[in-house]
Amino acid sequence: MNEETLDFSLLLASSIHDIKNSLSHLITQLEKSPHTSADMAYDTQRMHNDLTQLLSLYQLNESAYTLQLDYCHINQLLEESVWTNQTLATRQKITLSFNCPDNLCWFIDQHLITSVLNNLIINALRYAKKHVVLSAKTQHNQLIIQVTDDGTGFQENLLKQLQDPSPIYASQSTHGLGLYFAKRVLGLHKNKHKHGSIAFNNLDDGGALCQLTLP
Amino acid sequence: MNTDLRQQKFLIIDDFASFRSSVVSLLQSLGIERTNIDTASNGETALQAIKNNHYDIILSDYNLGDDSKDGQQILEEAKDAGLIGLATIYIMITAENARHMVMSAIEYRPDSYFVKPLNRDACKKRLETLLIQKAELTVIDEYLESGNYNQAIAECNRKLAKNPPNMITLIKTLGTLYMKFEDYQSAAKVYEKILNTRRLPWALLELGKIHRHQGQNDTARALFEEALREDETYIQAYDQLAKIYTLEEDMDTALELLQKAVNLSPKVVIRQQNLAALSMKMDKLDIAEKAFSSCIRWGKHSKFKAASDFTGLSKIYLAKKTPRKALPILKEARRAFYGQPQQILQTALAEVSLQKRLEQPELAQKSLNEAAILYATEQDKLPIDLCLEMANAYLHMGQTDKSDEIFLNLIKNNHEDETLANQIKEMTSNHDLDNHTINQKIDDIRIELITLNNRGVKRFKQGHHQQAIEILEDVVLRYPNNPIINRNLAQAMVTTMEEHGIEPNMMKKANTCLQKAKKHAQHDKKLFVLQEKLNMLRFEL
Repeated sequence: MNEETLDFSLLLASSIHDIKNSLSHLITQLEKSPHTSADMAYDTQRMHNDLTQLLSLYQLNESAYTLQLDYCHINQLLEESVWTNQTLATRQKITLSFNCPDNLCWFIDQHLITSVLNNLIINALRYAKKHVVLSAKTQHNQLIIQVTDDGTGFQENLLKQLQDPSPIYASQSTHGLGLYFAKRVLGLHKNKHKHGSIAFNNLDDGGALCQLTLP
Repeated sequence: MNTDLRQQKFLIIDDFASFRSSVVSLLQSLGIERTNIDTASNGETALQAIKNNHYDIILSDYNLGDDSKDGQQILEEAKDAGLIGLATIYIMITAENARHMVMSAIEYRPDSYFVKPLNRDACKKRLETLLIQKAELTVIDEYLESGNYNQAIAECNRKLAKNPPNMITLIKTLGTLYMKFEDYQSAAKVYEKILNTRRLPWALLELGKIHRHQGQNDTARALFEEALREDETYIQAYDQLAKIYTLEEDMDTALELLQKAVNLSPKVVIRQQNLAALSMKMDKLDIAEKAFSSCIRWGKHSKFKAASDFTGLSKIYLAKKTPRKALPILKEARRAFYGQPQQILQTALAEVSLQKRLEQPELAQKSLNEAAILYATEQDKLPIDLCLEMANAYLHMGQTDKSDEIFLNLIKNNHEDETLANQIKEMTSNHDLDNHTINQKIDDIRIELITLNNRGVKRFKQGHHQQAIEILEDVVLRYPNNPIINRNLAQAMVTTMEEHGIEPNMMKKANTCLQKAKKHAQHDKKLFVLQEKLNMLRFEL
């Protein structure tokens, strides 16, 4: 290949795609193996999520992907997120559950929101003691999705950074890809003049709360 | 409809045997009998299977290799041909990076996307939820199939009141139904309601189309532009805008829009054909050449491929004075459309001009003879453009008696078509012949038909239905196939029977007229409405 015509980001994207596929196979095998430790399961799942987010960001940047708003069954979305992360939760001896009104539907990009949720869930599983709970409801004509755990909550200075409303850029972010991706995806979810957002907080009785708000 | 997974019929479409068998064993592990699972390895066999069997769930890979239609094309053709209804679940299986490609699909979107590799539990869950959602639509499917449109509309409205998860399908179905009945107001309301809560690009597009149908171009334009502001890659909005600018004869803008759309999504054959036709009209030969070539390339496995893609390219080579290049193109067309008389007719006609240019009069005559035979058998089914091309070939070969016959026939059946009359005048004037007689005859027929039709319609409007019927019946005797006269006669008869009761003989006549009108103008929505009224009367009989 001629050096001048090398499209490095395209090369990266297709490599990421390749690695992600191999990783999926690996995860399937690990799921079947009795020797897989909780850490192995966690780390592979985390890598997989990161790669998925990188690919989505690449496509968004190249305008190869535009937001696909579907009228989405939220109950089903949460249930699927639980299914996807069930093996990991079981290995860490944490119960992963969800509650959501049965008929709740909302216009969201299912693919992107699922990626955001998966990321929040595996983080929560990392710090939870016994339970991680997903929940959804509507409030002031917006959809609220929450991920809560019963761990020790965010450390004071981390929480301060997480609550900083100024826009973050991938390059200067200290929390890496996950937060940048989440903010980007939520920001794309617009309705009339409102944008989606993500918020973090500590719960009164310990534990952390991540909340997505979708107009 | 039963929502038990084990009671469903499955079709798996994938070009890799290993993947097919892995999906089969996945389904078997969910308790589905092997006898309820069919497989297909390419688009042709898949469509054949869909035609011969009823499937509840179709799982198709998107990419089926270079020698087959892709999963999206299968879905479009099956829907277009009415092989699968609202309640059939069509699932597209993609590698993740192909997702955006599938997303730019034109009209029909699959019910769900599964990403390889498939996870057993997630699959089960999704299939079960889809089944429950789809079961809701079975009733509507049944109404639609039996032509019970009013019931279908009522059912859609009833379900929509609850904002169910399949709301989008219901809205689109309901909107389409209202449009079928030319009930623009109700159709618009359906989309306006959802737009009040959210400015969704597809709803903006549909509402825009409704305004365009009513000739409100400016309102339509604003809606299409808004859809593009919401989603700048929304290709159908470009198509619709291009349509408006074409209507307003702002060809440059229309061309620019279509080019943008084609760049975003080069694979859609119809769009390439529109671009080709427009650029051809504007004498932009290079753009047209590229577009026709794309039509041929992407149309290979598409049902939208047409001989006119090949003959169009051939015309360009003639215009560019490189006629020899057209020879292999037309040869390819003959191969691609073997056994399809209309397409071969089109090709043969292109050969006439090509061989004449290459100074091979015998070969030209040979193609013309073949075309004449095909024309004779296909005459009733041919689009106007193709008839004109046939006439043009006769003109080229100096056989004006034959071309005159075609012209007169066209005018007899399309007397209101101003463009057609002008086209014929232009064609005959190019040929430096004594064209006075044919043009005089054309004008005479048009004036006669317009006068008689107006007389009939006037009587009808004055309430003299019987007189109207008599006048129009007289016209039909002399111009048996004219769709407008036939439609108006059917209309007069239906109204008379609605007011004075049914008469079996008149029912029969009205039906004959309607069928004849339909033959020449399938897309006339008034005919659809008339047919519905006639069905209602038959119901009373």
